[in-house]
Amino acid sequence: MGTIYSFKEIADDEVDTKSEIEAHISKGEMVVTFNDTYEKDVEQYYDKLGKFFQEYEPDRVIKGKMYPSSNAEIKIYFKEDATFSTRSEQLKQDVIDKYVDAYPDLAGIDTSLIPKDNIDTNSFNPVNKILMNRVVANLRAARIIPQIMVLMIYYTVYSLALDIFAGDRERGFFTKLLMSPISPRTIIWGKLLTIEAMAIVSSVLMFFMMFLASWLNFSNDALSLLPFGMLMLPGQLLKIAAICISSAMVMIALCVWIIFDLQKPEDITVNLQLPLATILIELFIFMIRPGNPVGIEYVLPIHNGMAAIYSIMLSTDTVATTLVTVLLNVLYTVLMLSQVLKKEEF
Amino acid sequence: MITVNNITKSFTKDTQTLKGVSFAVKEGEIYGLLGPNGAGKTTLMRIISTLIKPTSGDVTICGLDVAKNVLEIHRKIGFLTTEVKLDPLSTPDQLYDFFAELYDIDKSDADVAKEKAFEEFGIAPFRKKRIVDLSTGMKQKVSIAISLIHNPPVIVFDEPTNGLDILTQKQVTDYLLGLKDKGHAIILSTHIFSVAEQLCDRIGILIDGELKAEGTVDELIEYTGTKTFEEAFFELYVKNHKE
Repeated sequence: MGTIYSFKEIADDEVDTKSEIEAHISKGEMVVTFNDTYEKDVEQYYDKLGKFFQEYEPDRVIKGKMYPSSNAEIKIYFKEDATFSTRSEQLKQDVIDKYVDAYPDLAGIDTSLIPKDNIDTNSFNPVNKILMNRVVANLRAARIIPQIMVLMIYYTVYSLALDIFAGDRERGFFTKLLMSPISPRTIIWGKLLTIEAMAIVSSVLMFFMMFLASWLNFSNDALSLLPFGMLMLPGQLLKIAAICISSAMVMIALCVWIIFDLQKPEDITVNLQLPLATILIELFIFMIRPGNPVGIEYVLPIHNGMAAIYSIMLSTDTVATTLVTVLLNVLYTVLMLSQVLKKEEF
Repeated sequence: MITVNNITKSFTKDTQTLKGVSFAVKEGEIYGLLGPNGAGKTTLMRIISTLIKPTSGDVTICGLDVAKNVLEIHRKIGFLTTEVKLDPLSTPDQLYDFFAELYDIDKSDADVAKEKAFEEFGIAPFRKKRIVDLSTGMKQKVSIAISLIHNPPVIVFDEPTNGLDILTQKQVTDYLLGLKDKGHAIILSTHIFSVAEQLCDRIGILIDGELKAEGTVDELIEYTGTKTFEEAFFELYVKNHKE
């Protein structure tokens, strides 16, 4: 090993072993070494290059055909986990730019034709690494997050609807509210919007917790439940938000429909728990299901929320799948709520 | 002040819960509906209070048709029942303020009324306690205070003393008599003879959805040829109840 180049002013004789190189790179520094005969090799290379140009047309050289080889060797040591893009830019400026100009000038070649980005600095960029992790993480997370989010929304809706509609009616407090000079529809809408808001808050919190769980899991093993680097793009987040809101709407409408259609608390509880059990079963099915959701899955209420979020996380969704899910959920909501609000007696 | 005109109500095609009930209640009068369980008292009270729509017939309160002026009627009526409970996790203070807002009562007026009502019912020491932690009697007193928050001219009280201890019963009946003296028209349903005798100016006997007799306690005793009000009721019941 010969000359050692480091971005931290290190004396030549200071670093000369593999372990010392490792000590530097683990701190996020980059170490560049040249082989012992580097300068001699470069000189020989120029000689070869000169002869080469005397024999061949320059355009063939530029195309890279029959390009003369060299024994000159530059080694760059760095640790992927600890080296950041600023450091790689420094490398480009201090090493690549410095040496890339040397031989083409001597060879008489137009240097503007030589690409200067010999090292792809993106490979040093943590954002780029995250995007690579994202592919694995999102794929795995898609098998669990949509179902957990839908389950969480339904659980919130179910427990709140049971208390503030069925519970209030059972307690008689609903009658007290109905006796106030506020119309029954206004009272019901107030309660519906409260549940919707709480369902949205719970789904946002659930998504954030899942995101945090993925980012606190430093393993990007594909077999990990939530591998490192799960990431949604803003457009995907907006689509997921729209689906969560519309799913919460359809769930609220279903719960309220059941509550106002039945009288006995035990009947109401059993009927409200059926979708909960179905979602739980689906949670396990989604973990092993193959392929993308098929068309009919976007039509089934509640299930379509899971299917749509699943395909968004896999980036296999289309505008149509999201639109169909949201619009059908709104339609189901309107149909069920209109049945409830048509009632004259609550 | 209250006119009930030929009210019928059928929940199913085969049965009729109310069969053409008619009566009227004047200002400053307590009208009692007395009848056994299942006679249709609660259904009738709920129809008067706009909670249920009658199959036929009409009810007017302060000249307003109940079916057509629901929200207006809510400002003129106070509906109380022992079945109506309050939100268990709220405090009397919070509930009073909440309902004052629903009734659009000015905050300062509501505060004054609240202090007066809480003092009158002895709620003041428990105003910061949750409803779930209050005794049954105290819950009922809070419920009454809140139901009358808007000082309605008409009060509909379904089974006012159900489940209450004798001290609270006395407080409630005294309060109702006080309201009567202030000119409120009160309809109450009960199956307790002593309550009916003590409170009501006139009593309607409701059996199997029909008003079988109506009058003061003395008139009913005279009508049936019995010696006591209790005997009068049983005489009417035996004569009119169909198995």
